[in-house]
Amino acid sequence: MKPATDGIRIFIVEDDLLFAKTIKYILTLNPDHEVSVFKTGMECLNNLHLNPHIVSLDYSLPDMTGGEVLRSIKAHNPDIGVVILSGQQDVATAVELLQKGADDYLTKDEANKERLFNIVEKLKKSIFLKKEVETLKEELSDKYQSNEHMKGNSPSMQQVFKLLEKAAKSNITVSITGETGTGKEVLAKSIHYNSARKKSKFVAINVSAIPKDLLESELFGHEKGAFTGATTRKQGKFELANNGTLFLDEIGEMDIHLQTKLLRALQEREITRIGGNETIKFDARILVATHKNLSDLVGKGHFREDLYYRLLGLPIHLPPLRQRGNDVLVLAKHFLNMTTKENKLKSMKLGQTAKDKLLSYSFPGNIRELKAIIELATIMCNGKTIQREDLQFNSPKKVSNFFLEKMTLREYNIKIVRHYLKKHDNSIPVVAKILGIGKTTIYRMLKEDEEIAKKNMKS
Amino acid sequence: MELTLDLTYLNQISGGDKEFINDILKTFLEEMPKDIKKIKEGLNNNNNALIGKMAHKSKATLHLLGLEELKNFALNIEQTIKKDSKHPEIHNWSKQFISYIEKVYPNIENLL
Repeated sequence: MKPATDGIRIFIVEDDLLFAKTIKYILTLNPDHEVSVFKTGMECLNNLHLNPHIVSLDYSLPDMTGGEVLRSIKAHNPDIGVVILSGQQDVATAVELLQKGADDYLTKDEANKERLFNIVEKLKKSIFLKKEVETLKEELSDKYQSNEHMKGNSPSMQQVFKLLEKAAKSNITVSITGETGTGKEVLAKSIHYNSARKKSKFVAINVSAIPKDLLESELFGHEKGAFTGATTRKQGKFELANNGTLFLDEIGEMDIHLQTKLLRALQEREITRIGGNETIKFDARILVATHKNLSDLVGKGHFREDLYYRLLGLPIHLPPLRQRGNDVLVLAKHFLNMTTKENKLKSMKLGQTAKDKLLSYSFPGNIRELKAIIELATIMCNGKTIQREDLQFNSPKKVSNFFLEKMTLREYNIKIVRHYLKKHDNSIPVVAKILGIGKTTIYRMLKEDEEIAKKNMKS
Repeated sequence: MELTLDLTYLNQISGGDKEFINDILKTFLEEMPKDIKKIKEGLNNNNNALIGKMAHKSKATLHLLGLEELKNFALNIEQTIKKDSKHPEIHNWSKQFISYIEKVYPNIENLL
């Protein structure tokens, strides 16, 4: 694994010049290491602005103890790796210093080439990983801050953006509704990464994806031995999201009994792990989402009314893609650019026929479906422009293809009637009842259609 | 007391780098007299804490030069002072330590 930077700056803080020279010689065998020696603790502290990555620190210095220097180094920058080198094998001192934040402890007798290199390499990996995690966090935060995934110019989405801004500025619970694939989790992440909690965790749990019996343990955690298979203590999502955001997706699927426990947790802002007695305070912002109508569920007795009001907070509804007009093209272009970039393909554009086809489709799978369609189109397309035939709509929801063909209103009407007749064994009274029209209207429509068909055949 | 240097360790880490080993030996000749001076100060002022500190400091250097018996002698002085800062033998042992170190100097000079 390569270190995060080309050069690793190492400070040796050591009053024994002969020993310091030896350590410096060993460490500079690696040309990536830039090593400086300081004879006192104060000299080291005065040079921390040079941002060392690692400090090798003698425990017994003429002006300060290793513990004092360690504390100052960690206060300056907790990410600096500190190895204590001591002349004595004093386990108690070693434990104390490790507790105070030292990253390793080595007696001078053991400070051979292999041990030193191992420790330095271990610290370099740790520094690299920390930097990588920081970079990824920043990238993630930037991604959602710039609304990279929340695109759209339609009035309904402009309203969503306004509410998103309000949600991000406050700590209020947000309830997100919308059909499957409309981007509820993306919106939840955008709220989190634009809020004051963005440096802490965003923890998501899909209530419908976890078996009922496991969900309680996932949310609240459990103690060792709480039930068969609980071999270790486990923290729940509430604890993991402390200081951050907890996103409960598909909240409408939650079992009514667990709703009671959830309500209590939200009211008291504390939880108890399964099998435990200790109450644990948490400070997590709650976001919930559902594709169901929660008030309907309340009416049917499937969702607690008190929990419904507790969770309602700021409601944000994500419109289905079919109601977002030209946003389909905005998103399609975005996914097209993203897919070609990720797969290192040549840049592509949408042809007019493809645009027309996209605009006339209903997208029952919403944005998720659009993304899949575009990804497939980049593979199907032979040139630089995606055409109508490159777009394949494979939605299992057949109604989606209804709008694909260009038809007159009369043709649409007869198609609907024939669809229902086929479905109901050609029973005109049943179809008339379903469609809310008279039986004679259906007879008339069928007759007209047959006459038109005959005329077309003759011509 | 074995006062002959064993440079195995320095040779090992440096792959026999003469320039490095000579630098280390010269550093010993420059730095150790400063520490010995402080031990003498400690003896004159009855400052056993200072003697213990310098004994502690010398251990790593003596270990690097393969002077293990002398290193253990220093360790004994350091630990005795920690347990009993007014131990009657401290001054006697410190004087012996100084004389041993002074006998090491010509051994090093012969190697340069």
